[in-house]
Amino acid sequence: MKNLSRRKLLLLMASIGGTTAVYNTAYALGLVAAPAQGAPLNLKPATGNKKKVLILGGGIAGLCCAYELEKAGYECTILDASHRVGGRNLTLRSGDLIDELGRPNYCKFDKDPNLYFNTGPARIPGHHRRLLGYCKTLGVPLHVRANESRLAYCHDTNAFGGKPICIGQIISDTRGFMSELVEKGVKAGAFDKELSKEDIERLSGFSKMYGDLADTGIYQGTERAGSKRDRMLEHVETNDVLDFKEMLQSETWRSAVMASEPYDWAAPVMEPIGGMDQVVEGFKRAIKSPILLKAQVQSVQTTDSGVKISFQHEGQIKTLEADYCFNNIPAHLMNGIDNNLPSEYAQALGSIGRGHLFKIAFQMKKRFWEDEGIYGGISYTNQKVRQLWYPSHDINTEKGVMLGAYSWVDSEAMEIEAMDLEDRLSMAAAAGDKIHKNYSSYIEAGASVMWARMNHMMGCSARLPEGKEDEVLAILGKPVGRHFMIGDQVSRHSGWQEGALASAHNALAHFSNLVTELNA
Amino acid sequence: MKFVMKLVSGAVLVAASTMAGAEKLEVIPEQYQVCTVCHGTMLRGNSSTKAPAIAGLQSWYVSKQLTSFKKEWRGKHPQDVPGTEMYPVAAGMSEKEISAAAKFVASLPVPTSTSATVTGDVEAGEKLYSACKACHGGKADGNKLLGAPSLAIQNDWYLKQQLINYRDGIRGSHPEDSKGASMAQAAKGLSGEHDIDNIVAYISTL
Repeated sequence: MKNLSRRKLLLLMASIGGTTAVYNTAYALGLVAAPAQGAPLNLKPATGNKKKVLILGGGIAGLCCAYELEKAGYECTILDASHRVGGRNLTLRSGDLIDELGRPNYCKFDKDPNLYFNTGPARIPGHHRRLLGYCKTLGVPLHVRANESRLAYCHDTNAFGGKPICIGQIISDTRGFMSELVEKGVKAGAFDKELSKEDIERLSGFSKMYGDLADTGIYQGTERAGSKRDRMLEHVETNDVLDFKEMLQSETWRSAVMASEPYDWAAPVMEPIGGMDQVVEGFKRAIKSPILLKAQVQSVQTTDSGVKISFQHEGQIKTLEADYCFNNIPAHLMNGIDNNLPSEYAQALGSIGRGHLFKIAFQMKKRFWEDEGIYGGISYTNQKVRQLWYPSHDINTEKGVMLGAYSWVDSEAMEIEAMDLEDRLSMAAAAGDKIHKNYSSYIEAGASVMWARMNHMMGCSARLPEGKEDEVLAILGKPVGRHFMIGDQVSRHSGWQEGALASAHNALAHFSNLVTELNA
Repeated sequence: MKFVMKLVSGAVLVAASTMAGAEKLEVIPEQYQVCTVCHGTMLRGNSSTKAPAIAGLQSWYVSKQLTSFKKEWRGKHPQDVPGTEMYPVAAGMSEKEISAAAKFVASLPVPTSTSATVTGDVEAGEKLYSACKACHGGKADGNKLLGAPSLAIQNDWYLKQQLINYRDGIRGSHPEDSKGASMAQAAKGLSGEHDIDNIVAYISTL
């Protein structure tokens, strides 16, 4: 690319990928400020007879490739080992199979369209342009999901006497303490070298406002944290200020304060109305290509002119030849599937570890959280369940499905994976009782989806080898012959649908280059 | 979208026998397809899921191990995560199902090529292996009467992990598992820093 000017590169991208590719390339080159508006790709129409494409795995990346390639005139076939497509985009409803290895079971929620649970992806932030673009194009209606509630709780068995504290108070008191420290710094002359007298005055003014400090520069509580009595007819009586030292000792404090700060979790986030799998349904509506379910790939062979894929389907080993292959199979499963991929590529696949994300859901006979002023958002705890999520859809209805556990701590997740189904639910119910009075008495049904135990998945999300992430992604981000690896596993954003779509778009850009070269 | 199960668009269906360069594939009966998810194509093992090669293992040994999982001799130690993953699968099987599964696994061809992942001093390993010969045989092909499985067909990374597990009391520590206890005792003798790597490197040459 050394001798290729920016203009030439953009023209080249336009010839193969349409305006979206140009915009994305321009963005990557730093020529425009923000990502392109979410819109599907515009691949160059297929020509000649090299049009056959096999897509291994109907996860979000696989479905996206099928949609885009089909649109450009390619003949796609999707093979999926599971009884369904969508991969980890799984929304549970009454009667759905939870296909856990050794413990297959069925979702026992009531048959009611409002009672569903997103077991995989559950949030779409505004900057996930690709996914939001597909939602728009595919006709998947969205609404805002409250990802934060100031009235939800921060709970720590080792702090505040194990009493749940409203997140609003945690955040307000944290700001108060931090501002008080700034004030102390001002008084001690800590900023005199860096700032002018006027700037210090402005800093002090901001700091007092940010933390709601008293004129003395001391934090004495704030009405932002709530009031001990009804504030409509009486004066506010601020809550007692938390002990800052105790707060510092609590790990949950940090989670609660920082929950809405990461770019992907900042408000507002969206969710499809009726469940995240509406994204899958949207793709399914648009895709005409055949989808073979319960088609388990056994062999992936690249050849000079394409690929040969063998799979077991309907009691037979079948082999298909195609011109191109987009491979959405989890890397840790590919490592056990016969293949002739180059050793460097195979080793890169084998180096990706299995994540242990999981979620536990409860159908509650009463939306008790709404009686506590919680309408969506998340409570945080240092117990193994780590989080409780409250639905922000269908407010004020009778029942609701809430998240009763979602942890990123692998060692704890593995402990829960090893438990029987009932033990998992009992553990999560007991943890909930520490946060909400009579929590477990509201439970009517529960479900656990341990992704590392789910048939044909066996992990979520992909763990790139530490220190070798760039190396592995550089290898797997490029095709081997006519074989392209896709999925959130080959993005820098595993565990997110946007990562899956980005990988698909990356593979399709390489594909376009290859087709251009072959046709030259 | 239509779920067209018969019509396969585009891609050309070719006979399995025309496959070049790949090992032969056989139809896996439906009830055992689930095994291939972790144990890989034709049950030849997968180092990522840490599921060993089991194709061609002696049926008596497969049966015994499935029973060990069912009895909770294996698969309950928190440090043996792959074991805890196997446990619920075996726990749900009847004796008859275990026997049939074991026969099926034994009927599959032994994998012809496995790549070495453990490096060690083969000569030092050979000396250490002299203590194993009595049960596992000079060619590491096992001995049913003594309850010692074939080691020669196994992935080296799995042999290494199991020796560590036996040595550290993760496997073979259940009071009723007498064969496991003998093996655990033997593994405790592999106390040198590289003993396990060396012995596994030697077994890989057999």
